[in-house]
Amino acid sequence: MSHLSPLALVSIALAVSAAAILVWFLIARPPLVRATKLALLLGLGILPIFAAATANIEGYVATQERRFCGSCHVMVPHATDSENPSSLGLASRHARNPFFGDKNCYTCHADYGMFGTVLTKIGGMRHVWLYYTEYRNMPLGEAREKIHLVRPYPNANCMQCHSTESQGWLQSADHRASLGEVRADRVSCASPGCHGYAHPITKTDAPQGASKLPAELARPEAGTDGGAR
Amino acid sequence: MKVDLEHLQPKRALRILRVAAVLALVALGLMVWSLLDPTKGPVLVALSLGQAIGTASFVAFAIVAAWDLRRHWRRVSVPPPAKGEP
Repeated sequence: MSHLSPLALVSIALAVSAAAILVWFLIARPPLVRATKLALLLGLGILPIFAAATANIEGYVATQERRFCGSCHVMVPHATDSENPSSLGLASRHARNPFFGDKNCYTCHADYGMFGTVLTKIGGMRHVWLYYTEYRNMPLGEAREKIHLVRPYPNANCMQCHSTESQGWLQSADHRASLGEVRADRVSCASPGCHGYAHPITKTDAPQGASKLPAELARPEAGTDGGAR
Repeated sequence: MKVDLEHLQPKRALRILRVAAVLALVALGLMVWSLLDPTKGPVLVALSLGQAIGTASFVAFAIVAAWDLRRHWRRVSVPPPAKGEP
């Protein structure tokens, strides 16, 4: 059990209170008098509605956390690399920044803009669908070869923080030389020639052995769901 | 499930409430599971199946509540029999 947030505790308290009323109703079988009706209004109406509302918010927050992304076995190498304090991959370096922290997958991969959250969640549902229909039983080695981003990672996501406008950024000759290309998404910030892959552990052509999967993740049985955790 | 509010019997209303209570317990269980283990399985089950079961439970409760309110309003709108009437 992970550390529960105050909202999750409120939600559990509401659910347990509703459940207590419902169990009493089912076991004691009271007559349908005013007190029973009021109890049922609480147990079947008010408490579950608030419990569901708070749990939905918690569910939404949970889908932003790295633990959630890493619960699909094919994402375990990405999540493990992010959590590795000695990794020099972009993802890990960003995860060490408190602004990204445990939500570094979402912070970097979310679409931004007016409908960004909705579009990100729709994209996430597509991931879930593909996972259950295609990748659920795929060994990690095979998944590493086959799974890739549906479209190139947009520099606009990097530019949410690294605006490409600051003097410090422009002091780099490479940045100045590639400014137009970077802003037009023709050169990726996360390319081997620039800042390197975000998840070098998942790339077969990453340098310095960074692509080598840890032994416990490379085992064939780690390919099935849950085996790699 | 077709429910005719006009002819709903108290016994049947109680049965519907019991079914609603069982459904709500299942939905609440799924919800708490997703809070204790926020990984893909529990969260997705809670946000889809749990929501559907919970909504079904609430709809069943609302039907019985509507029936009960209707019965109550009928009772108060019918004037009491005048003195001397059987």
